[in-house]
Amino acid sequence: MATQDGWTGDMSDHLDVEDTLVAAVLAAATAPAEAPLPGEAAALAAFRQSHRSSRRLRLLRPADNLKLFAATLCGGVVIVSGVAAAATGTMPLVGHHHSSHSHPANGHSKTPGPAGDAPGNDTSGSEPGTQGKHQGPAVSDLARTPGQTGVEQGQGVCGLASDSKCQAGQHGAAAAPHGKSSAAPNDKSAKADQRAGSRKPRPGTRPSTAATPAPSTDHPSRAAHPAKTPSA
Amino acid sequence: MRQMTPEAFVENLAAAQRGDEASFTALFRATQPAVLRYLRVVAGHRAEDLAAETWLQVVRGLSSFSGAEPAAFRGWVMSIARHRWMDDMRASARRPDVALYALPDRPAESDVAASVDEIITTEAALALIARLPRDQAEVVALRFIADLDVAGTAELLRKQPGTVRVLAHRGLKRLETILQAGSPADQL
Repeated sequence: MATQDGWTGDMSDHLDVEDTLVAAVLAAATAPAEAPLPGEAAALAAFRQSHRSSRRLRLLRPADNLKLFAATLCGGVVIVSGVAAAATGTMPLVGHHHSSHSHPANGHSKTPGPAGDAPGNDTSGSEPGTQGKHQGPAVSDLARTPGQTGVEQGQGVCGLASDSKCQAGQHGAAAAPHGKSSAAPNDKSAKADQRAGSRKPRPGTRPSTAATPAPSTDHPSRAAHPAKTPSA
Repeated sequence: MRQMTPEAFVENLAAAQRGDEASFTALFRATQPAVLRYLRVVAGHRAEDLAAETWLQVVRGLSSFSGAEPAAFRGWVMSIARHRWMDDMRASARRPDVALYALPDRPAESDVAASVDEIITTEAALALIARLPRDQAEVVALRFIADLDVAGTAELLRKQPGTVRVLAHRGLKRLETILQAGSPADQL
């Protein structure tokens, strides 16, 4: 089966090199190389750079995950605490002034509403925790009563909320003395003293500095006002 | 790669994949001579540049290499080298003149047959092999220089194993003819 070039059809992997010259050439071609090999420094530099960058990536990944986890945890805590605070009513919300009346004993500062700003519209004399709890629907019905002017509605609501001690809508012409005082209407100084002196701190609230007349305040009505919590 | 045992190869490969420079250097030193000589046979003066490109790609893909045999790693590196060479050929669109480039110091022209081991340098031997037809030179280089078996060579060249055997045989016969026609130095 020999061909022109001597191929005998041997299909084994082993290939005998009988010719000494050819064997010598192959031996020379496979001779051990002398160090340093060309390209070793470049290959090593590429290896260092590649592995450094991959190591940096491996180091960054846990840190990124940690940051992401911390941010998610903080966000979750803020959201949950906000929802919990809103659900328990401990968060002062605009438009929910009466809620503080509903929970006078919770130790939080009271946010007075517009009706509470009027002089003499003080509910401090009433029993805490009993008056405001059951007046919400009545005040709401009164405020929605058709056929009444705003002044009348305000007067009615104020009177109901303050246990008929409110003088809203009277424009200074109060028919009855404020609160439980029996002083004459024209006795303004006595009235102011009575108003200031009759205040007593409600249980569960901080003693207001405005309950006693401020030394530097020359206006009696300003001194008689309760401390205001800044509202939005 | 012939100096590295399979056990040492596995250890060096695992360590190099973890980033150990000494292990990578050991792999490089065991493989680079064959890569460089194969590229000198087929690509001539572009061999060192192509070898550098080859090792860049080897470094990139080292972590994903999963072979456990030294021959598999050698074949993988040779495959990369061959692709780099073919890309370079397409880019240059011309066959490099391998036989006339980078000739070593000319061997002595004394008794070739008697002292052939002493007079033929590695570069001269590679230049002789490069004078073969390209497919024969490539098979001879892969089979004898890179020490790949027939199956590995056939897989790398995308040829049948029988074709690889025939090409190797013809290459050696042709090399013998060249050498018998004159001294290696004369042939060069």
